[in-house]
Amino acid sequence: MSVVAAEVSKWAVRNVSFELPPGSVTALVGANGSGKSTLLNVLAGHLPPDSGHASIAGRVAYVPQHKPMYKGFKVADVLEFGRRMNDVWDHERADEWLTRFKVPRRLQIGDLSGGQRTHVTLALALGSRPDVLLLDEPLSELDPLARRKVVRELLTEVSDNGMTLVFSTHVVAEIGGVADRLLLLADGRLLVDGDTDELLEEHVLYTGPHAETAPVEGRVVLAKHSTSQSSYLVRSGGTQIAEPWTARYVTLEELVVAHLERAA
Amino acid sequence: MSAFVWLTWRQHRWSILGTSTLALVAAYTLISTEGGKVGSMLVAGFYGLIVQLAFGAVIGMFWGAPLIARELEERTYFVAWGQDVTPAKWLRGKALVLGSLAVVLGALVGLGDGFGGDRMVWGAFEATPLVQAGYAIFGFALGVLIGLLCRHVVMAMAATLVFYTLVRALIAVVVRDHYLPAQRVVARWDSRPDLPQNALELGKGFVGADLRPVPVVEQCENLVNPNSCMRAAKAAVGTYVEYQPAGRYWIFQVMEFGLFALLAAVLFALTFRVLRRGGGWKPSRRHRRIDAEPAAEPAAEPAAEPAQSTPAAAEAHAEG
Repeated sequence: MSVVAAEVSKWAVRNVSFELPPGSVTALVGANGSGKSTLLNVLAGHLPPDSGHASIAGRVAYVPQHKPMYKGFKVADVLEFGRRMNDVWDHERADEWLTRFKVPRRLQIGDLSGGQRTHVTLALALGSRPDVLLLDEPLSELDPLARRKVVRELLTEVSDNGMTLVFSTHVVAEIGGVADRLLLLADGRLLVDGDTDELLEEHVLYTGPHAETAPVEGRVVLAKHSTSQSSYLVRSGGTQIAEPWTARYVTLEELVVAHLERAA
Repeated sequence: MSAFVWLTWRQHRWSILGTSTLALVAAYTLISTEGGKVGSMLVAGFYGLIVQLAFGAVIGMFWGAPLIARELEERTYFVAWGQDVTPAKWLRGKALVLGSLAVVLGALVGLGDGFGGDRMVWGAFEATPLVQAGYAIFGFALGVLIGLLCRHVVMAMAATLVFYTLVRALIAVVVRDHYLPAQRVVARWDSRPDLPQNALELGKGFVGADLRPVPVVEQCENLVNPNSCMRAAKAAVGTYVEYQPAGRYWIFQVMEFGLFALLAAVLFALTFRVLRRGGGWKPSRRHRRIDAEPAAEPAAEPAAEPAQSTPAAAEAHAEG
């Protein structure tokens, strides 16, 4: 395991436990104020948990939500800073990242756009060759094209270097096909923790005539009723079902929204 | 270490340059005035004295206070302490670079005393390189700790100024004269106590038959010159003056420096303690090897307290 949280509690986070294997890509999803940033801060070691403990095997790099960086530094100074402040520093990796996203080297950080600043902080994080990379809303300030590019590049880094990636987001559309693990936080509690593919296979949406009980065995995540129709999202693994009921798999977004709605 | 020289220069070059210029100009004016130069340089020496008086506070406000407070206020401590360098190493590196520079600049400012003509021995007590270096390092250490506690640059600067002034004033007014017990010279009526040359006079009064100080008796209290009254009342056999001899000047200089250096050391120790424990920031990038724990770190500190309290409790039981 490369990331372990055991009953971590801190302000917005209550008794969260999970383990993430090395080389995994984990999406930390939740509504605003559900404790995503607090959890990442605890994992990164910037906040001590009130109870429980969090551990990370190896070196960790963390890019917080507000993408902090010294405003007076030039972009080249940031790379120099990374080189001098780290035992391990891959200058080419950081430099390539900046070149790829066309970040102007001569400007000061304070003069960069939000997206360019994101790239600088990502370059600093990647240059230190972390075993675990924690990103808090990494894509929030990027344009749609850059988002895809960044995600693709990050996935390449993961597969090439065996890095473990954990990123938080509240835009569920961002995680489709990216994350192989999903951590769903609501109100500081961990609602869902699992492999995204398995989760998608487990959750089946049954739609049929109005009914007070679910047509199949299993844990009902969300039931919706209208005058003539009922729909049940059941976490069971897909049982055969007869007419007039229909069954279909849900998208990741539907899955997340259903769990959040249930928690709300 | 060269990494921290680079980092310190990159982050603080303007305050370093500004303060260094101020120190150089102040030192020049103070030394020039000392040579008895006439004309406008005497006024310059006056300004130099103001800089000298405030130099430790300047270091504390512009170097010490923002050192950690700015990182906390602008939330860049994620960057500073998120690298392989631990917060403690980071602080040690920066404090070493800035602190030694502060000592050098302080000593520079203390080179001249700004008084024209003969050198005053005790009157220019604070105008020596050694004492000024002590003030500078104390101001720096004070600023760093206050910055860590305040978390806001401007508030930390103001608080540094206030506390620095308080400590300096308290020590100058109350403590400094009594680093060593004062010496006393006694004279019988009709002669005056003979003060050695360049001695620092601390106080005077009357002595009784055993040559020890006695209070002024009631009927003489409100007189302008109680001497004849005291003599007539036979309440005293003479007068005394307490003083610190000129020979102690250098010992006092060393003691003043030592006191401020000690205060600075205590402040630094506190700062590191708060940074390590109170802040809760990660002690190292690799501090949480999963195989080495679990719960070793959180368990260590609570476990230490019961271990300490147990013998005390056992003793209490034994005594009870």
